[in-house]
Amino acid sequence: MIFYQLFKTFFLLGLFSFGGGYASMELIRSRVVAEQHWLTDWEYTDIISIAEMTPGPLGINIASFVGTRTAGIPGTLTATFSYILPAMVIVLILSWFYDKYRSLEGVQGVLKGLRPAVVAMIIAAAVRLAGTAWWNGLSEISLAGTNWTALLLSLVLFLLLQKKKLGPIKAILSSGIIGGLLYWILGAV
Amino acid sequence: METSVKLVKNTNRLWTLFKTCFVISACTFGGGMVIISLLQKKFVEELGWVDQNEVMDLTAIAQSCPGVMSVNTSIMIGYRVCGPLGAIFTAVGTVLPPMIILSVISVFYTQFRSNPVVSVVLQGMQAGVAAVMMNVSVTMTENVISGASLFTWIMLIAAVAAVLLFDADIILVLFVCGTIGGIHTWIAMKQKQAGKDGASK
Repeated sequence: MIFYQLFKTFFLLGLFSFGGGYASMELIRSRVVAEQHWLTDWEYTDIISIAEMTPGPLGINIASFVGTRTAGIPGTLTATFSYILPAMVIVLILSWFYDKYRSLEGVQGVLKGLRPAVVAMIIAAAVRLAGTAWWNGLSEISLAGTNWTALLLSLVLFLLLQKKKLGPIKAILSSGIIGGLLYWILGAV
Repeated sequence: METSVKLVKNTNRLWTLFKTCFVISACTFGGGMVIISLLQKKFVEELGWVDQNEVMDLTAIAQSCPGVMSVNTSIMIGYRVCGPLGAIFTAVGTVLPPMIILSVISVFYTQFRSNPVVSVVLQGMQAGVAAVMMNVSVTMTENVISGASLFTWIMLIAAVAAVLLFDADIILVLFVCGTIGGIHTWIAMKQKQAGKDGASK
Protein backbone atom coordinates (compact mmCIF):
# COMPACT_ATOMS: atom_id res chain seq x y z
CA MET A 1 0.00 0.00 0.00
CA ILE A 2 1.77 3.08 -1.27
CA PHE A 3 0.16 5.59 1.10
CA TYR A 4 1.17 3.55 4.11
CA GLN A 5 4.72 3.26 2.72
CA LEU A 6 4.88 7.02 2.16
CA PHE A 7 3.50 7.72 5.61
CA LYS A 8 5.85 5.31 7.34
CA THR A 9 8.96 6.43 5.48
CA PHE A 10 8.42 10.16 5.78
CA PHE A 11 7.17 10.03 9.36
CA LEU A 12 10.39 8.24 10.31
CA LEU A 13 12.47 10.72 8.32
CA GLY A 14 10.71 13.64 10.01
CA LEU A 15 11.30 12.10 13.41
CA PHE A 16 15.02 11.61 12.87
CA SER A 17 16.11 14.61 10.85
CA PHE A 18 18.24 16.50 13.30
CA GLY A 19 20.57 19.32 12.41
CA GLY A 20 18.92 20.73 9.30
CA GLY A 21 18.87 20.02 5.59
CA TYR A 22 22.51 19.16 4.96
CA ALA A 23 22.58 16.74 7.87
CA SER A 24 19.42 14.90 6.87
CA MET A 25 20.59 14.39 3.26
CA GLU A 26 22.27 11.09 4.00
CA LEU A 27 19.35 9.86 6.11
CA ILE A 28 16.82 10.74 3.41
CA ARG A 29 19.02 9.04 0.81
CA SER A 30 19.19 5.85 2.84
CA ARG A 31 15.39 5.52 2.88
CA VAL A 32 14.21 7.13 -0.34
CA VAL A 33 16.99 5.94 -2.67
CA ALA A 34 18.58 2.87 -1.10
CA GLU A 35 15.58 1.30 0.62
CA GLN A 36 12.45 2.28 -1.33
CA HIS A 37 14.03 3.02 -4.75
CA TRP A 38 11.68 5.92 -5.28
CA LEU A 39 14.59 7.92 -6.77
CA THR A 40 17.94 7.08 -8.33
CA ASP A 41 21.18 8.63 -7.04
CA TRP A 42 21.21 10.95 -10.04
CA GLU A 43 17.66 12.10 -9.50
CA TYR A 44 18.41 12.62 -5.84
CA THR A 45 21.34 14.91 -6.66
CA ASP A 46 19.15 16.74 -9.20
CA ILE A 47 16.56 17.42 -6.53
CA ILE A 48 19.20 18.67 -4.13
CA SER A 49 20.26 21.19 -6.80
CA ILE A 50 16.65 22.14 -7.48
CA ALA A 51 15.92 22.40 -3.76
CA GLU A 52 18.73 24.92 -3.33
CA MET A 53 17.20 27.03 -6.06
CA THR A 54 13.58 26.93 -4.87
CA PRO A 55 12.16 28.07 -1.55
CA GLY A 56 11.60 25.56 1.19
CA PRO A 57 13.67 23.05 3.13
CA LEU A 58 15.18 19.96 1.52
CA GLY A 59 13.10 17.41 3.44
CA ILE A 60 9.83 18.99 2.39
CA ASN A 61 11.02 19.34 -1.19
CA ILE A 62 11.94 15.65 -1.35
CA ALA A 63 8.69 14.59 0.32
CA SER A 64 6.58 16.62 -2.11
CA PHE A 65 8.54 15.45 -5.16
CA VAL A 66 8.44 11.77 -4.21
CA GLY A 67 4.82 11.93 -3.04
CA THR A 68 3.64 13.43 -6.33
CA ARG A 69 5.67 11.01 -8.39
CA THR A 70 4.49 7.87 -6.61
CA ALA A 71 0.84 8.69 -5.91
CA GLY A 72 -0.23 12.05 -7.38
CA ILE A 73 -1.65 14.84 -5.24
CA PRO A 74 -2.89 12.55 -2.43
CA GLY A 75 0.66 11.19 -2.32
CA THR A 76 2.09 14.72 -2.05
CA LEU A 77 -0.16 15.53 0.87
CA THR A 78 0.55 12.21 2.61
CA ALA A 79 4.33 12.43 2.25
CA THR A 80 4.65 16.12 3.13
CA PHE A 81 2.39 16.12 6.16
CA SER A 82 3.80 12.83 7.44
CA TYR A 83 7.19 14.51 7.30
CA ILE A 84 6.21 17.46 9.50
CA LEU A 85 3.85 15.57 11.85
CA PRO A 86 6.43 14.17 14.32
CA ALA A 87 8.17 17.54 14.62
CA MET A 88 4.84 19.24 15.18
CA VAL A 89 3.93 16.93 18.07
CA ILE A 90 7.40 17.15 19.64
CA VAL A 91 7.59 20.92 19.24
CA LEU A 92 4.25 21.40 20.96
CA ILE A 93 5.15 19.05 23.82
CA LEU A 94 8.54 20.71 24.28
CA SER A 95 7.12 24.22 24.30
CA TRP A 96 4.66 23.10 26.94
CA PHE A 97 7.54 21.66 28.98
CA TYR A 98 9.56 24.78 28.43
CA ASP A 99 6.75 26.93 29.78
CA LYS A 100 6.60 24.72 32.84
CA TYR A 101 10.26 24.19 33.64
CA ARG A 102 12.21 26.76 31.62
CA SER A 103 15.07 24.31 31.28
CA LEU A 104 16.07 21.93 28.57
CA GLU A 105 19.23 20.49 30.11
CA GLY A 106 18.36 16.85 29.37
CA VAL A 107 17.45 17.69 25.79
CA GLN A 108 20.67 19.64 25.44
CA GLY A 109 22.67 16.62 26.62
CA VAL A 110 21.18 14.38 23.97
CA LEU A 111 21.79 17.08 21.38
CA LYS A 112 25.43 17.37 22.39
CA GLY A 113 25.81 13.67 21.68
CA LEU A 114 24.02 14.04 18.40
CA ARG A 115 26.31 16.80 17.18
CA PRO A 116 29.23 14.59 16.10
CA ALA A 117 26.74 12.19 14.52
CA VAL A 118 25.15 15.04 12.61
CA VAL A 119 28.55 16.18 11.33
CA ALA A 120 29.33 12.59 10.41
CA MET A 121 26.14 12.45 8.33
CA ILE A 122 27.13 15.63 6.52
CA ILE A 123 30.60 14.26 5.77
CA ALA A 124 29.10 11.01 4.53
CA ALA A 125 26.68 12.91 2.28
CA ALA A 126 29.55 15.04 0.94
CA VAL A 127 31.63 11.97 0.10
CA ARG A 128 28.71 10.29 -1.62
CA LEU A 129 27.72 13.38 -3.61
CA ALA A 130 31.32 13.89 -4.71
CA GLY A 131 31.35 10.23 -5.74
CA THR A 132 28.26 10.74 -7.87
CA ALA A 133 29.62 13.91 -9.46
CA TRP A 134 33.18 12.68 -10.11
CA TRP A 135 32.81 8.98 -10.82
CA ASN A 136 29.12 8.26 -11.31
CA GLY A 137 28.94 6.78 -7.83
CA LEU A 138 31.34 5.53 -5.16
CA SER A 139 31.35 1.96 -6.47
CA GLU A 140 32.70 3.13 -9.82
CA ILE A 141 35.90 4.82 -8.65
CA SER A 142 38.73 4.50 -11.18
CA LEU A 143 41.31 6.82 -12.66
CA ALA A 144 40.04 6.30 -16.22
CA GLY A 145 36.42 6.87 -15.22
CA THR A 146 37.12 10.18 -13.51
CA ASN A 147 35.10 13.15 -14.69
CA TRP A 148 37.96 15.69 -14.59
CA THR A 149 35.71 18.61 -15.52
CA ALA A 150 33.51 17.98 -12.50
CA LEU A 151 36.48 17.32 -10.23
CA LEU A 152 38.24 20.56 -11.17
CA LEU A 153 35.03 22.58 -11.00
CA SER A 154 34.26 21.22 -7.54
CA LEU A 155 37.73 22.00 -6.23
CA VAL A 156 37.71 25.57 -7.59
CA LEU A 157 34.24 26.22 -6.18
CA PHE A 158 35.21 24.63 -2.88
CA LEU A 159 38.13 27.05 -2.59
CA LEU A 160 35.88 30.00 -3.45
CA LEU A 161 33.30 28.89 -0.88
CA GLN A 162 35.99 28.39 1.71
CA LYS A 163 38.14 31.48 1.14
CA LYS A 164 35.96 34.03 -0.64
CA LYS A 165 32.69 33.31 1.18
CA LEU A 166 30.85 32.58 -2.05
CA GLY A 167 27.18 31.78 -1.34
CA PRO A 168 25.94 28.20 -1.92
CA ILE A 169 23.22 29.19 -4.40
CA LYS A 170 25.72 31.19 -6.47
CA ALA A 171 28.17 28.30 -6.34
CA ILE A 172 25.65 25.77 -7.60
CA LEU A 173 24.26 28.13 -10.26
CA SER A 174 27.68 29.01 -11.62
CA SER A 175 28.65 25.36 -11.57
CA GLY A 176 25.51 24.63 -13.61
CA ILE A 177 26.35 27.31 -16.16
CA ILE A 178 30.11 26.72 -16.46
CA GLY A 179 29.88 22.93 -16.18
CA GLY A 180 26.91 22.85 -18.54
CA LEU A 181 28.81 24.89 -21.13
CA LEU A 182 31.89 22.68 -20.83
CA TYR A 183 29.87 19.47 -21.18
CA TRP A 184 28.07 20.97 -24.16
CA ILE A 185 31.34 21.90 -25.87
CA LEU A 186 33.08 18.65 -25.00
CA GLY A 187 30.02 16.67 -25.95
CA ALA A 188 30.41 14.64 -22.80
CA VAL A 189 26.72 14.10 -22.11
CA MET B 1 -22.37 38.99 20.99
CA GLU B 2 -18.97 39.11 22.57
CA THR B 3 -18.10 35.57 21.47
CA SER B 4 -18.94 36.36 17.86
CA VAL B 5 -16.66 39.43 17.97
CA LYS B 6 -13.94 37.24 19.41
CA LEU B 7 -14.58 34.66 16.74
CA VAL B 8 -14.19 37.24 13.98
CA LYS B 9 -11.01 38.47 15.59
CA ASN B 10 -9.69 34.94 15.81
CA THR B 11 -10.58 34.16 12.21
CA ASN B 12 -8.72 37.29 11.18
CA ARG B 13 -5.73 36.27 13.22
CA LEU B 14 -5.70 32.77 11.76
CA TRP B 15 -5.87 34.23 8.27
CA THR B 16 -3.01 36.63 9.04
CA LEU B 17 -0.95 33.77 10.49
CA PHE B 18 -1.52 31.64 7.42
CA LYS B 19 -0.93 34.46 4.93
CA THR B 20 2.25 35.69 6.61
CA CYS B 21 3.79 32.24 6.79
CA PHE B 22 2.79 31.47 3.21
CA VAL B 23 4.33 34.66 1.81
CA ILE B 24 7.52 34.40 3.86
CA SER B 25 7.99 30.75 2.97
CA ALA B 26 7.32 31.36 -0.74
CA CYS B 27 9.85 34.17 -0.99
CA THR B 28 12.68 32.80 1.09
CA PHE B 29 15.57 31.06 -0.50
CA GLY B 30 18.41 29.73 1.57
CA GLY B 31 16.27 28.55 4.43
CA GLY B 32 16.54 28.44 8.20
CA MET B 33 17.74 31.60 9.82
CA VAL B 34 16.52 33.90 7.04
CA ILE B 35 12.93 32.77 7.56
CA ILE B 36 13.22 33.23 11.30
CA SER B 37 14.42 36.81 11.01
CA LEU B 38 11.48 37.57 8.70
CA LEU B 39 8.99 35.93 11.08
CA GLN B 40 10.48 37.96 13.89
CA LYS B 41 10.11 41.21 11.92
CA LYS B 42 6.47 40.54 11.17
CA PHE B 43 5.20 39.07 14.44
CA VAL B 44 7.34 41.02 16.89
CA GLU B 45 7.99 44.39 15.28
CA GLU B 46 4.92 44.82 13.11
CA LEU B 47 2.12 43.01 14.87
CA GLY B 48 3.46 42.76 18.41
CA TRP B 49 1.83 39.36 18.92
CA VAL B 50 4.93 37.73 20.35
CA ASP B 51 7.77 39.38 22.24
CA GLN B 52 11.42 39.40 21.24
CA ASN B 53 12.67 37.10 24.00
CA GLU B 54 9.98 34.59 23.24
CA VAL B 55 11.11 34.33 19.64
CA MET B 56 14.66 33.66 20.80
CA ASP B 57 13.46 30.90 23.13
CA LEU B 58 11.17 29.43 20.50
CA THR B 59 14.04 29.30 18.01
CA ALA B 60 16.20 27.48 20.56
CA ILE B 61 13.46 24.89 21.06
CA ALA B 62 12.94 24.61 17.31
CA GLN B 63 16.61 23.81 16.87
CA SER B 64 16.50 21.10 19.52
CA CYS B 65 13.59 19.35 17.81
CA PRO B 66 13.86 17.06 14.83
CA GLY B 67 12.43 18.25 11.53
CA VAL B 68 12.76 21.59 9.84
CA MET B 69 13.68 24.54 12.01
CA SER B 70 11.65 27.15 10.11
CA VAL B 71 8.52 24.98 10.18
CA ASN B 72 9.03 24.27 13.87
CA THR B 73 9.38 27.96 14.71
CA SER B 74 6.28 28.95 12.77
CA ILE B 75 4.32 26.15 14.47
CA MET B 76 5.27 27.55 17.86
CA ILE B 77 4.40 31.11 16.91
CA GLY B 78 1.02 29.90 15.66
CA TYR B 79 0.48 28.02 18.91
CA ARG B 80 1.35 31.08 20.98
CA VAL B 81 -1.03 33.31 19.07
CA CYS B 82 -4.05 31.06 18.49
CA GLY B 83 -3.50 27.70 20.19
CA PRO B 84 -3.43 24.34 18.35
CA LEU B 85 -5.51 25.69 15.47
CA GLY B 86 -2.97 28.48 15.02
CA ALA B 87 -0.18 25.90 14.93
CA ILE B 88 -1.94 24.04 12.13
CA PHE B 89 -2.52 27.22 10.12
CA THR B 90 1.10 28.35 10.33
CA ALA B 91 2.39 24.84 9.55
CA VAL B 92 0.22 24.55 6.46
CA GLY B 93 1.09 28.09 5.38
CA THR B 94 4.81 27.39 5.63
CA VAL B 95 4.70 24.02 3.91
CA LEU B 96 2.35 24.86 1.06
CA PRO B 97 4.66 26.93 -1.21
CA PRO B 98 7.54 24.43 -1.48
CA MET B 99 5.01 21.61 -1.73
CA ILE B 100 3.25 23.18 -4.71
CA ILE B 101 6.50 24.07 -6.48
CA LEU B 102 8.04 20.62 -6.09
CA SER B 103 4.84 18.80 -7.10
CA VAL B 104 4.78 20.80 -10.31
CA ILE B 105 8.46 20.06 -10.90
CA SER B 106 7.80 16.40 -10.16
CA VAL B 107 5.08 16.20 -12.80
CA PHE B 108 7.24 17.81 -15.47
CA TYR B 109 10.53 16.31 -14.32
CA THR B 110 10.91 13.80 -17.15
CA GLN B 111 10.32 16.41 -19.87
CA PHE B 112 12.38 18.90 -17.90
CA ARG B 113 15.29 16.49 -17.48
CA SER B 114 15.32 15.34 -21.10
CA ASN B 115 15.66 18.90 -22.37
CA PRO B 116 19.32 19.02 -23.56
CA VAL B 117 20.08 22.43 -22.02
CA VAL B 118 18.53 21.54 -18.64
CA SER B 119 20.31 18.23 -18.74
CA VAL B 120 23.82 19.68 -19.11
CA VAL B 121 23.09 22.41 -16.56
CA LEU B 122 21.86 19.88 -14.01
CA GLN B 123 24.89 17.74 -14.67
CA GLY B 124 27.10 20.77 -14.24
CA MET B 125 25.39 21.54 -10.95
CA GLN B 126 26.43 18.20 -9.48
CA ALA B 127 29.99 19.46 -9.16
CA GLY B 128 28.66 22.57 -7.38
CA VAL B 129 26.54 20.54 -4.98
CA ALA B 130 29.59 18.43 -4.13
CA ALA B 131 31.61 21.62 -3.51
CA VAL B 132 28.93 23.11 -1.26
CA MET B 133 28.73 19.89 0.74
CA MET B 134 32.51 19.79 1.14
CA ASN B 135 32.42 23.36 2.36
CA VAL B 136 29.62 22.65 4.84
CA SER B 137 31.46 19.55 6.06
CA VAL B 138 34.64 21.47 6.72
CA THR B 139 32.83 24.30 8.51
CA MET B 140 30.75 21.94 10.62
CA THR B 141 33.73 19.75 11.47
CA GLU B 142 35.74 22.78 12.58
CA ASN B 143 32.79 23.80 14.67
CA VAL B 144 32.35 20.50 16.43
CA ILE B 145 36.03 19.74 17.04
CA SER B 146 37.10 23.18 18.26
CA GLY B 147 37.95 22.52 21.88
CA ALA B 148 36.37 19.10 21.68
CA SER B 149 37.41 16.14 23.78
CA LEU B 150 38.88 12.90 22.49
CA PHE B 151 35.44 11.49 23.13
CA THR B 152 33.86 13.71 20.45
CA TRP B 153 36.62 12.79 18.00
CA ILE B 154 36.01 9.09 18.50
CA MET B 155 32.25 9.51 18.08
CA LEU B 156 32.75 11.51 14.89
CA ILE B 157 35.19 9.10 13.28
CA ALA B 158 33.21 6.05 14.37
CA ALA B 159 30.00 7.50 12.97
CA VAL B 160 31.57 8.37 9.59
CA ALA B 161 33.11 4.89 9.36
CA ALA B 162 29.86 3.20 10.37
CA VAL B 163 27.89 4.97 7.66
CA LEU B 164 30.39 4.95 4.80
CA LEU B 165 32.33 1.74 5.32
CA PHE B 166 29.88 -0.52 7.08
CA ASP B 167 26.64 0.79 5.64
CA ALA B 168 25.16 1.09 9.13
CA ASP B 169 21.60 2.26 9.45
CA ILE B 170 21.63 6.00 10.04
CA ILE B 171 18.74 6.03 12.46
CA LEU B 172 20.63 3.50 14.56
CA VAL B 173 23.77 5.65 14.47
CA LEU B 174 21.81 8.74 15.53
CA PHE B 175 20.09 6.78 18.25
CA VAL B 176 23.33 5.37 19.67
CA CYS B 177 25.10 8.75 19.57
CA GLY B 178 22.13 10.51 21.20
CA THR B 179 22.01 7.93 23.97
CA ILE B 180 25.75 8.11 24.58
CA GLY B 181 25.53 11.92 24.66
CA GLY B 182 22.64 11.80 27.11
CA ILE B 183 24.45 9.41 29.45
CA HIS B 184 27.68 11.41 29.17
CA THR B 185 25.90 14.63 30.18
CA TRP B 186 24.05 12.84 32.97
CA ILE B 187 27.31 11.52 34.42
CA ALA B 188 28.89 14.97 34.14
CA MET B 189 25.91 16.49 35.95
CA LYS B 190 26.18 13.86 38.69
CA GLN B 191 29.88 14.55 39.12
CA LYS B 192 29.22 18.28 39.33
CA GLN B 193 26.54 17.59 41.90
CA ALA B 194 28.89 15.36 43.88
CA GLY B 195 31.61 18.02 43.70
CA LYS B 196 29.20 20.62 45.05
CA ASP B 197 28.09 18.35 47.88
CA GLY B 198 31.71 17.64 48.75
CA ALA B 199 32.52 21.36 48.80
CA SER B 200 29.58 22.22 51.04
CA LYS B 201 30.70 19.64 53.61
